[in-house]
Amino acid sequence: MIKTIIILLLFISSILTGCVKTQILDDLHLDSAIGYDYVAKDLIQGTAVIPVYNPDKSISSETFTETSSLSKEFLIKIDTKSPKTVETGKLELVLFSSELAGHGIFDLVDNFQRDPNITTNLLLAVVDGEVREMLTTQFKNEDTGRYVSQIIEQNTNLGLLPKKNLHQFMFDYYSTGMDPFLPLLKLENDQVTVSGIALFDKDKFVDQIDFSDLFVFTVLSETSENGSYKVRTDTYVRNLGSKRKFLVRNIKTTPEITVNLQINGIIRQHSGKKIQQKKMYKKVEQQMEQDVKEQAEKMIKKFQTLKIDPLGFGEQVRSRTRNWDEKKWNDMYPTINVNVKVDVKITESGVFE
Amino acid sequence: MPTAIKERFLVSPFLVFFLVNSIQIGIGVLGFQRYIAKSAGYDAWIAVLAFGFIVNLLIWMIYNIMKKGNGDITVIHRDLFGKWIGGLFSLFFVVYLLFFTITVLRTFIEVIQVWMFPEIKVWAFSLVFLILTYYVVSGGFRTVTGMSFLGVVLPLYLLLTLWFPLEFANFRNLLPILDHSLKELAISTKDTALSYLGFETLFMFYPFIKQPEKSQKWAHFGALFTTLIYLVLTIVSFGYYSEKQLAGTVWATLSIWKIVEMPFVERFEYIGIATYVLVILPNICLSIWSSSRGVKQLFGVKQHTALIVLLVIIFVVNCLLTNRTSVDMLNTNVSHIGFYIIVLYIPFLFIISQIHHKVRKKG
Repeated sequence: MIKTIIILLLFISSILTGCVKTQILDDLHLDSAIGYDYVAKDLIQGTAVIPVYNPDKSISSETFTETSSLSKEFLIKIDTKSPKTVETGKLELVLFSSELAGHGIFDLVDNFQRDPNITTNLLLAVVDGEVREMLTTQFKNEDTGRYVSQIIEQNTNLGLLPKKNLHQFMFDYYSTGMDPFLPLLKLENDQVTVSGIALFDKDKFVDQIDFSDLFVFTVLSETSENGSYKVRTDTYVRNLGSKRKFLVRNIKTTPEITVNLQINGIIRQHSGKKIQQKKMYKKVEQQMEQDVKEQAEKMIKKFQTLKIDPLGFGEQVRSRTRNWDEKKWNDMYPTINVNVKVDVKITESGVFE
Repeated sequence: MPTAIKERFLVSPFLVFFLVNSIQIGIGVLGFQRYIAKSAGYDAWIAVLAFGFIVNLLIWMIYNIMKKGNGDITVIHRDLFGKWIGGLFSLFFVVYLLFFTITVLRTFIEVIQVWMFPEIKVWAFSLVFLILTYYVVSGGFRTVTGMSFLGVVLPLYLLLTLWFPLEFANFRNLLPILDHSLKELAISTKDTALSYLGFETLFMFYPFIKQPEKSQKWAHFGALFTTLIYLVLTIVSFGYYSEKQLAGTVWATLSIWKIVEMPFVERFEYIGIATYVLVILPNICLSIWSSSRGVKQLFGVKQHTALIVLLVIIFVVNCLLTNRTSVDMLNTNVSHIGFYIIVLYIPFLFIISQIHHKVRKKG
């Protein structure tokens, strides 16, 4: 008797497994990028990019733009325009216009970290200008979302940009002694370029780092294994591996921070006077040390006046202090002394002398 | 004096390693980090170690109690406290195990609802899962043990996924070490308890071990392995999340999987959660086996009948818990009760049994 019941139940349950809503790939629109523009207070304009795979194997993008007050509402509004359900499972890039970022982006980003469907490897970036314009541009035979995220990925791998994804943005945002930053993009002559770094005070975009300072910022913010630096006007040095070390003194009173920066590089191009190799190495090393130090200290001074801490000095001090007082640190931060010591080692200069 | 259990129903001593480990590693693994970090912050990994040590102490006590008695916990209760009071204690233990099972299953269903299928019905999943449980448990304790073995070995590969978050980990988060007071650490140690619960089922399955004295070291190894897994997971999570970020992350372990990227799988959580059924199944099987065994010993009914009744109760209660708040409440309460059972009741029983033994020896 019981056996028959069990068999019956097993049979029923095998049918039940089909009861969850199915999502068939061909019937879905998987958006690859979303961008937000500022319209008015509490009103945003969202643009979603959906790759379209044409029968002739070419790829193009379809975009939907809607204005709404909540970002989820925006996605639902898009559904009303789309013949297929829009799903965010394959989203890889989210862009914010610099104007919107200036008003704070936490609510929008929070929505992405809440969503179990969205990877924390999601790339975030700020666009100098209108996001919609960038996302509606068609880039050759490529989906726009994929195209822009590849630009960011490529530059990250090259060491030009520090790596930043959704997880890291949230990590920095919630961290007590650090402020987040994101890559800054720009649309120029129908081409997307990395124009620098967008600096945030908590979740508000406050300032930017220009392209010329990008190398220095990157080596200051992470252990970098790539990137190139122009020394004066005649030499180009490629970074083979940089290390940073923080030294904190006088923790109990007013902390004094020393950043020891070690850069190993090779000369890629040198168009100056031909001099003895050893001498040239020495000269380039000295010049680069001096320039990087100057740039770095100027940059840090700027962070201090803006009261932002993208390099995580607060984190360095916190992890060395017992009973750390965040408020006291915040008050102290603009006045503390930060020294940068740069040590450049040139090891090679190519295969021809 | 109960009749000795026939040898064909017994399991080898080394399998106790898998039994203890599989029941300890349960639903708690998916999101224990933020609870333990609540009071002791990022010093909580010390609490994980501390409670791992306490668990080993408690296992030692359990073995001491069981060696002196002649049967499972119900028999020991009867010998120590008499038929009625002892029976009451046993009943309480059985009910506790029942709620332990409900908590595990219901929380797992919640995970599935939040992470995979928001539309899935609680009753549908419970039904399928409980039929499976029935199938395993009605095979007897040896089958349950086999399930535990698989439940430890097969999902072990999930530990490899902890490689991925290391790229983003910042272990500076853990510094300065010991920045919290002893009291905060003690509270955090208490919060760790839920993650370690379950090994008290030893009280029920001890008579089913062949040469039980020999199994003690395996029980300790099992608990040590649990501690090791929790420690690694805690340290990786603490490096991966900043402190306030972790405080808001409900399922820290699952959220770590969101960063995993492999060429052949876009979302690892789906594979992880599906694999996790193998961790949950022995958890439920062993605790439901223990409580049905307890019912059999207490009321003299067939274990098979007890099993069916308990499964029906689990099914009904599961369906009645409809939202996150009630599931959360269940979790908190069961972990509190479980905590007191293991840290107060086990030592209490240990002392009583020592005295009882001494007195009887003299007499």
